[in-house]
Amino acid sequence: MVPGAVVNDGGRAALSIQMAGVGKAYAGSAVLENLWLRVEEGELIALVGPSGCGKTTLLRILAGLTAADRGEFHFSLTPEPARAPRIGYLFQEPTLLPWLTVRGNVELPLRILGTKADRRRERAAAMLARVGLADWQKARPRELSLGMKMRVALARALVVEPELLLLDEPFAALDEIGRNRLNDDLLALRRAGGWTAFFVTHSVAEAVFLADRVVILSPRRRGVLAEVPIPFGRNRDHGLRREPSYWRMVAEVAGHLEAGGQS
Amino acid sequence: MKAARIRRGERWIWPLLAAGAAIVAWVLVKAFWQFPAYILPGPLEVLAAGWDERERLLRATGTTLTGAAAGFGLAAILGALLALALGGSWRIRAGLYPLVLVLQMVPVIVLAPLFMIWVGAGLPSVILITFLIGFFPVVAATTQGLISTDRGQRDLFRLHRAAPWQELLWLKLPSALPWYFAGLRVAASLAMIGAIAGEFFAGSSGGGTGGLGFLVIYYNAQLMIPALFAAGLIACLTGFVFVSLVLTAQWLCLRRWHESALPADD
Repeated sequence: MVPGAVVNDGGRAALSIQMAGVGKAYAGSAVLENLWLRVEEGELIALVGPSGCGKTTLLRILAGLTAADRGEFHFSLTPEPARAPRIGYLFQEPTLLPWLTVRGNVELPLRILGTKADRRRERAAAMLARVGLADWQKARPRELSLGMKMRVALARALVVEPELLLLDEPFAALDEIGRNRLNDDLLALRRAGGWTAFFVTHSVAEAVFLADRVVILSPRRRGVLAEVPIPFGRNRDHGLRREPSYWRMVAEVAGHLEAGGQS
Repeated sequence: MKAARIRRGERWIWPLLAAGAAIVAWVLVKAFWQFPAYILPGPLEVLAAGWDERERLLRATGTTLTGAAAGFGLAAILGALLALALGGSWRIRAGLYPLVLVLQMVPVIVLAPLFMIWVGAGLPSVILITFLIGFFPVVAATTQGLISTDRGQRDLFRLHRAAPWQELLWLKLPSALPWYFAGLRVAASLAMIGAIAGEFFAGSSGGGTGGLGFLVIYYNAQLMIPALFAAGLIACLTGFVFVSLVLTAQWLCLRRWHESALPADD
């Protein structure tokens, strides 16, 4: 459906998601009311929309951190339909544990899941190498810059080999160069990972750069305002930022967002 | 780096300067109003009296220190355990916290005679009083620490369906540790005061084993004011050592990660 989306090397399970009329209210006021969305295997959805339109709430519902009040959503994992998907979550803050080393932080999810120590160490070290922090395993979080902390958090989210990756404005606090670099890395990791992902962002340019589809949420509709497929495939890289077609796409999505603000 | 080296030197200079200034002020005040030794002894008189009374003072300090250490140890252990219960559920917190508070509010002079009746005068009463004084700061600080865990970090544990014991062991306890030490620090600074007050109200001189609190009564009755000052000075110094031990333990536990244990950089 999405060009190149159903590529999954390494024989990992792939996840598709159906959401039907999902709704959630806080203190009587609905944030999401009637959200319908189908996500294909390995697809990366960018969620954009003004503050308070339920982007973070949607991620929390998918992660099982918040229960939906209404509607339902369904995970289908192939080829293991009975298993619940493993989920990686990158929060807005790095949320690293300051008393653990960088590697200790990356190992933490595996420790919770009961992985053996040597296997844990091996996978955490490999994941840290993937995000460019191989030499920082023994450092404490306070010794790192914000960008590096976010890389550690990314390694921690990916170390469980998730089928679903939830990213909640993870790079919003970084400067543009740092953010672009992390986005480039994210694309590379994605080619190897095969996960299905949601990426919440306020930046339309970032959304178009990363996503197979941009989903615009509206606080007025309390659901999906528009969906824009992004036709650049999965093999895109940083060169895309110089393509006129990329900027046309950014303009188109921005237009939808503005129209939503006016209607 | 140069600035850091200067600061390390300054850390010793300022307290020493302040202490020196206090002693000079002491001497000047005494000289100006010409106080006799039974009202305000001078520093040298105090040192001399302390030397003359050294055997009695030393023995008393040992007794007081025993009471203080035992009471503080009890407060550190039982305080942490109660904080775990209080931090574990808001229902327990809502039920027990007022009781703990009430216990803290009862004045020592009310409790002292009761303890003497219940556990007997002397060390048992002293330990109990010291424990009660140090208990509350430990419970209050640690409970606060246990319920102040970062929400995002908690979400991380919930995301991976962590068992409650995993969350407790790997998240709540480490993040409450700085709070626990804050409570211990207060308890440590109160321990010597608690033990001496305990000895004052519920101590025993049986077999010459009265602590500093007992000596204070004795010196006062004998109008041995310079010795009284010496006893007070020893209590201060011992309390100082007590707090330093806790600070050292804190530094050892937190130096790798917690802001409070990192070098200042203002």
